[in-house]
Amino acid sequence: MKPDIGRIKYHLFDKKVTIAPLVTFRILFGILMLFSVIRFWLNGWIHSQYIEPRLYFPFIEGLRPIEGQGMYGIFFLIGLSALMISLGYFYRIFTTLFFVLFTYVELLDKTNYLNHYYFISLVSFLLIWLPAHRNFSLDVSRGVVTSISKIQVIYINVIKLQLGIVYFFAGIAKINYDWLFNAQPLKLWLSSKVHLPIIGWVLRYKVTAYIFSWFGMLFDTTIPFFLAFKRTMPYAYIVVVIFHLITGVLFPIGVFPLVMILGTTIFFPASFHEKVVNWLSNFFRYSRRISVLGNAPKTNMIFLVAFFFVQVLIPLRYLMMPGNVFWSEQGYRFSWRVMLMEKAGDITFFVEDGDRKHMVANYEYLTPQQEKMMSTQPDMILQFVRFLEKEFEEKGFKDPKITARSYVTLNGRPSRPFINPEIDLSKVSLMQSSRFILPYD
Amino acid sequence: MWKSFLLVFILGLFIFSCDDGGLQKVNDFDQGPLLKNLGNQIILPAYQSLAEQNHLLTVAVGALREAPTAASLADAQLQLKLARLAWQNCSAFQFGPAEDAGLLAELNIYPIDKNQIEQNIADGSYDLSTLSNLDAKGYQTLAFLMYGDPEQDVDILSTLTEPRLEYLETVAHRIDQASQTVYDAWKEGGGDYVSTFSSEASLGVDLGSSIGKLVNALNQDFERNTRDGKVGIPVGIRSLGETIPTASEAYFGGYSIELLKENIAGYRNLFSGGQGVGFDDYLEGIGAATTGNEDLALTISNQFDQLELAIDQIADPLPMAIADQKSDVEQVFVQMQILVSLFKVDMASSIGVIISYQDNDGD
Repeated sequence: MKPDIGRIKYHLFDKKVTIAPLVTFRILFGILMLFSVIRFWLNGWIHSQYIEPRLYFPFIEGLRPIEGQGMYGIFFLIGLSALMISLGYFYRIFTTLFFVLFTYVELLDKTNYLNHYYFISLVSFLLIWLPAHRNFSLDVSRGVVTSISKIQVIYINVIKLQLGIVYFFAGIAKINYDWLFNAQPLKLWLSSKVHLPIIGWVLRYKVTAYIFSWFGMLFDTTIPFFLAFKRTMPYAYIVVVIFHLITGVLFPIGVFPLVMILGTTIFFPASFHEKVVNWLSNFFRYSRRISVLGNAPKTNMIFLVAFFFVQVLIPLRYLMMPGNVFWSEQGYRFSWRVMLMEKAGDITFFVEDGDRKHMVANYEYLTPQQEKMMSTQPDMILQFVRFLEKEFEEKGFKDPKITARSYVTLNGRPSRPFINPEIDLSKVSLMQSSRFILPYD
Repeated sequence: MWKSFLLVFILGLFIFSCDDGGLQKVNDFDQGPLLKNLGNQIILPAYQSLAEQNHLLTVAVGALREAPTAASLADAQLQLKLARLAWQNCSAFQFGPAEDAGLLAELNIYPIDKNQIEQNIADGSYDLSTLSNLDAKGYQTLAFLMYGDPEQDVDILSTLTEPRLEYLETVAHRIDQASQTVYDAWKEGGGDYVSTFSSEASLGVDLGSSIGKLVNALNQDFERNTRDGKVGIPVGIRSLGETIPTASEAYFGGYSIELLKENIAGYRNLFSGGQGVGFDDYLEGIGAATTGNEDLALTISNQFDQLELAIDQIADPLPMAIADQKSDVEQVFVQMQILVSLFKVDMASSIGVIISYQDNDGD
């Protein structure tokens, strides 16, 4: 039988469905992000991550936090935007503001990079272009946009696809020797949790680490498909909840489990979301004007395809880079390598100018968290070297030579030298990583 | 199909779990006895001794103020040294009650600010709890007033006027109070932190667990205060190679190396757990190894030997050792650096402690 392209396109793109799933997603996303900002603020992390440090490791050279207490203003605006997204008030403006500010904050320091922050940047970018405010929103109430009850299914599918990409690539990343055949780093992590009540005893056994490893890999690679099919969806969702609750208990991953548990409700049947939105409308005495006539915006197909195509390429870029991706971390980030390795290191820099030799005390310049992250990540090491070069030139060193003595341990293996101690790091660039990163095997 | 897959999976898990005989355990080490031993046999006695010695120091300084004679001065100097030796066995434990009390800042910040001290004495009124007086109190301040500058040959007894003696007593009193506060917080019948330390809720390796706090605190202290403070900074490792002998811990008393030896012995005792369960047993229990596939506990123990050998090559006073045998002093630093890596990377990672002094999310 010849596949009917037209029919596939209709079911994936053009079919008109209720807008309700998009509306509940918008509301949940906004509330969750507001909660995240408040939590971040109350934990004192705005100060410890964006005010206290002396220097930063930005993704874009020259990007800096706002001086003084300005970052509190940025986080306030992010929280406000999240609330407004939830309410659907000046939706386009606040989704754009949220995306820009949130991404700005995440680009400020590699130290704080988290995959789920990247995910939130991507979703908020998508939301800018989705008509999630076209029903049950303040924008509709105040009459700047018309209410629509049906939209093209593609607007819901893009979010499903985005969630699916996260799971799928997280699963693909788990297909590696350490994860599957050594059950590392799970063996290491679980062994430190054996004292936990109820589940502790089961974590004591090696086989548990293997089961968790294999189950994690199978879960991540297959769950998008099980969620996508109507028949398996209810069971898949139960597994999603259990999976994220367990990871939430075992690992310090903040709000991420909640994001995924609530985010995947987008896979629920449209009728469910329809009920939720109706219930909310009654509760808030909001009249859902029934109008199918509002003109839903046209999708820009080329734009969508490009957006997702790039997301497939980015996790695979490591294949073109030298060295073991876990060791040299070339192409490690933005690839959904979630909770995938245990790495720790210690690095000491020496600055030389002729006879004068100086050892750098990292803690004089860096926060403990920055030092920890820098000591195992080559691009951050080079950024710190550039900083030291400037710092010591100001102290009167002429063309200082900067070397490093470093040890790194990966997945519980004994530590080994990481950076070639003979190389003048002020003279190398990241492109020459194989020159200064010692080989892993 | 999917349901049956899940069923098989759960069944498999069940069968695996019940087959105890063939099951290998990941980590059979029980933290309970370790924490009990460290808390009761190492940390609590160390703080008790510190509180006692600091109290005796205050008494001796009081006697000196009462009657400043050569004998009472010598006695106060001796008590100061004993108190400082007692501190060496506590420096690794700057978490919990000690952190709350700001113990380190009260006792052992150096080098001191001589001008600030002289200014305070001249003014006659001072609040030593302010930030500006952070470098004008603690052991080294007492030593400065009781020994004077080793560069100058003065009869120290004749300099001990009442305002100076009063300052001495004020500083000693603060030291006494702070260490008593910490000891009270630790001991049973007081704050009983020693029980909290080994309680069920404090097990594990998270940031809030006892092992997490202890390992982070000892790493921070060993790197900053022992490696850099006691040796690295005086020998110029952090000042473009220019030595700073005045930055020695006991610059005025002239026994910096003796303090260093006591400190290293304290660390060694902590690592081995004295007569009981220590970190060495922990590492052996979980089968931690080094690159050469050697036993990590043994490697660390051997590194302690190397460090002690290196320290035996130098003699007090430290400024003289730096002037005469700089490379030997640098060798001590190098040996400590190796120990820092073993602690910070291998040991911490083996037991699963994330070296981080601040709380944050991972992913």
